[in-house]
Amino acid sequence: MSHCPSCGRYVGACEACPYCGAYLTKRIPIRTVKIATVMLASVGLVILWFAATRSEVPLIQIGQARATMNLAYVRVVGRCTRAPTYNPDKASLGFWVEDETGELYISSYGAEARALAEGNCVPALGDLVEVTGTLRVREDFHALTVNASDQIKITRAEPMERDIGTIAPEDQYLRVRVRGQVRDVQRPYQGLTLVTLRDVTGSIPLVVSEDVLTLSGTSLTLSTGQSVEVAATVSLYEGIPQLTPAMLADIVPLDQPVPVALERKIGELSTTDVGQFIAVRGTVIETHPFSAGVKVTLDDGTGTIILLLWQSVYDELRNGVTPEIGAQVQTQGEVSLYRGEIEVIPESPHDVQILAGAPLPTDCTPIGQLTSVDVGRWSTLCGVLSPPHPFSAGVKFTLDDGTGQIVLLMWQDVYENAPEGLGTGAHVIATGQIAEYQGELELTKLDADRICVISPGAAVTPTPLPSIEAERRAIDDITSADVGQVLTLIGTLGEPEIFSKGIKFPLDDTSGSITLLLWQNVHDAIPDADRLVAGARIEVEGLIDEYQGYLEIIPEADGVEIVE
Amino acid sequence: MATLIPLLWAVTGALLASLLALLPGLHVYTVAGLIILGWTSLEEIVPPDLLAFFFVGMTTAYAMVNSIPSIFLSAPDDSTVFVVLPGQKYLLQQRGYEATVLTGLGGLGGIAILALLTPIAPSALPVLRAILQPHLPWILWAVIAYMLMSEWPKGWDRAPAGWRRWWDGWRSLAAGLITFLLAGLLGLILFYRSPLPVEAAHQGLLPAFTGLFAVPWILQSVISGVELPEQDIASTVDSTPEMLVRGTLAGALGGLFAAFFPVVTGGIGSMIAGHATAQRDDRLFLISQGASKVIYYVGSLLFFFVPGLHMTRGGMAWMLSSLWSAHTPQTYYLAVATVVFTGALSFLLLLPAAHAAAKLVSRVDTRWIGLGTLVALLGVVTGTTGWGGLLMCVVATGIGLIPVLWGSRRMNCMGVLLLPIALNMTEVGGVVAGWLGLL
Repeated sequence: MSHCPSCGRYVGACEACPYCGAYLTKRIPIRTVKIATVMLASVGLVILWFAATRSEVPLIQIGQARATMNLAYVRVVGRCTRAPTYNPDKASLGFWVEDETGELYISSYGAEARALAEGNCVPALGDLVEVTGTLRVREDFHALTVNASDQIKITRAEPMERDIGTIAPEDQYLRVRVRGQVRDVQRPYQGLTLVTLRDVTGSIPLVVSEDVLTLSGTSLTLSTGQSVEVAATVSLYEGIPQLTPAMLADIVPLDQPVPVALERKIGELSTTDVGQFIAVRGTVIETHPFSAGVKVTLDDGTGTIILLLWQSVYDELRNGVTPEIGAQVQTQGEVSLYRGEIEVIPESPHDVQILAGAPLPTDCTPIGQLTSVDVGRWSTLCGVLSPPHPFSAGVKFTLDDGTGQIVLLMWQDVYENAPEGLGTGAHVIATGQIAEYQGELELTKLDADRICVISPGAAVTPTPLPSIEAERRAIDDITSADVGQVLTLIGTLGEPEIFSKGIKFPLDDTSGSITLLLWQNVHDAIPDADRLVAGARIEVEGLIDEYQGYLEIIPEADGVEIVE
Repeated sequence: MATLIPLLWAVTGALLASLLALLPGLHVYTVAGLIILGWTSLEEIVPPDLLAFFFVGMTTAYAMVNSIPSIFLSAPDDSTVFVVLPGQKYLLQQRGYEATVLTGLGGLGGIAILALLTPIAPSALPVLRAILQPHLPWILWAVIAYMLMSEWPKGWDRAPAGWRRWWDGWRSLAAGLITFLLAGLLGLILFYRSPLPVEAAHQGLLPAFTGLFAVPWILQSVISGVELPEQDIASTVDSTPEMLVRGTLAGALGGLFAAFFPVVTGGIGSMIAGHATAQRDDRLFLISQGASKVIYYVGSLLFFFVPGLHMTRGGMAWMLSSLWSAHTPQTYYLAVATVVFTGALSFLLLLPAAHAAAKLVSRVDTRWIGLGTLVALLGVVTGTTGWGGLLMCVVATGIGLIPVLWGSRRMNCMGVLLLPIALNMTEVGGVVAGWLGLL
């Protein structure tokens, strides 16, 4: 108060008017105001902080989010409906949460994303999730950004024990535990692996994304035929159930094999079994090649059934042994109906087992009558063996029946399983396919079961098969004449082509190109298989083969070395 | 027709904002937030793209006309705090009208700069952004450090030697640091545990900014009750074309810096650009401030329209992004044309409005205007953000009064945004919020 309220004169800082003596209200010192301001700011902030830390973050339903809520700090509760994606290079993590009112993208970046990934705080498909973060409302897209790693609470259900065949679309987001056998491993594109699992009740795809591998910090090492136990969430792809694991640790290999089919009598099978995966065994009574494969008729005494071998399966039957008339065969496959006739269709060559080969015929074809016209025909030949000639991949004998001579070509595995007594002077009966190599007839595709030793020959000195260091060759120098040889090649890989049983790469050096064929088990066994990509330079030692007129090199896992 | 209708909406927005900008303390973002609240029920009638052009017109006019309350009523926002002191000086010299026209000329220059940048912006800005994006965290910390370290002691240098002399030197510096820290803590509470209703989140900064910037000025104005002299309405301005160009370029530097970098407002950009170009002349300063705030407000909104840039800067762009996105080059060029047209229109409106304000302040007790504004602002804050918002506004007022009473730089109140965002950019925001028990 600078003027007297009584006389109106200027009084300055006086407490009483020097002119009229009026008492003046005490002035408020500026210092007090300044301290009060600091107190207001500090105490007010403490009150605000106290209230803030004791209040709950508002819970909203996803469908409520609208423009006026932009940048609100909120909480949502829902189910994780899309598997998380994680990019460690950009340190970004994202997944989708859905409640009954809508779906919301949850994201995290930088240190928070890394902490979530490393702390195993990433939800999996189907998990119940409570997330707190900053709501970002855009014109056509709503998202919630998580600002701290402990702002995600995950409730993961205990998996329910289920048979694969009982899993239906209604089980979407249900967490299940199944046991099955790996039937197939495919990579439709970079970043996705589809594993087909089967038990006796059915099959289901197991989806393993690159994100799961990254979050698990390990690679997938499943191979066909392996039995596993999987805990995963049921998801749908185009309405069909599939399994999505949270982590690779949810896929546990089993020691005991899981059966994939129940053995049935052929006579019991009816149209009601169509679609089921069953096992049968019986004797081959008829074979009938057709344009897409071979139909084999099996008889087990209770009835007959067609075993349909698609060409791809037939070509890759184990050891090249095909079911001949009279052979005992055990097979498993899906029951199908074609033109009123029940068929069993195996999925892979592993589903067909020749329990016993066809009985050896007594009427041997005279070797002297064989000509080039007979190439491709299956024949049974009798004769006496000359001394063996080992080579890198097996052993060659010359069979002489007095009318002529023919080369018996035994691959190493056949030779190792052949009856005892094979040796110089042994009298044998052998069934195989006539082939021609460099103008000379050979009996090939021999199977140990179809070699009968009538009288043993001189014991073969168990000299080890020569370990020939593979010859290093330029690709352009390789011709059909090298089929069966083991060679070493150095070249650069082209774009991979994935097929049902493995992967093919074009292998180029400056002189030419050849196909590098890696069977799936070989590829899986290569320690750094993930480095086998287009542009990789490798040294490969393998067997030269020819398929449909094209040369290919087929190595074992230890025959592949990545140079750069 | 496709061009005319958005232009008409923009002109409507400009006319509305020219009127509302005259009210001290009423920010264009506050008005836009209220419009968005009402728009949700009018979505069928007003498509979001037309609303976007309405906002473009509003922003342009506000950036141009808000010099009037800053100069005549000393009621700045976060981007015009530096206009107040030279504006006050001009006002006491009966030259408030001239000061307003000088800032308006700077604003026109700013619009010309934006128009000149139009052809190169779609190609240059994405590249610039890609280069700078990884460096934003340390740049922001450098801005904070510069802002705090460039505060100078305001003691009288008369205190006795020892602690009292030390305190005399450090009083204003400590006040600045405390202001920044308290504002930063307030910002962290706002970001992580805002007491505001969820539905008012888009107006989350309204109570804090009202309390930090508007209310302290109004209180100061009401308490001091300065009687202003009769204002002279000059028919010329004391400036040369060369000075106009220099001031505009200096302002453009600060405005573009503020528009391009997140969180950095026009005030901070102007301060750095002012220091960089070593401005001494008050006329130059007023012109550059006019250019800077127009480029900051309008430029940051125009970035939202630049095809391929995908950049959201400034409160208006953030609010708009929740309703609509620009996709085509045509929209961008139309937005620029709208800015140029409404900018020129706003300048023409600025002159009679400044004339009227000059007459008004010398005849009406500004304390009553201040009190009326205070009541209106608190009403808007409470109505929009509830009692939680009012509480936040009161606390922010306490913080905003510290620089006013302790003689430090008011820009330190920007800690409310700078500190939380800088912490988040360096990926420790969540950690600090956790220490404070806010998570």
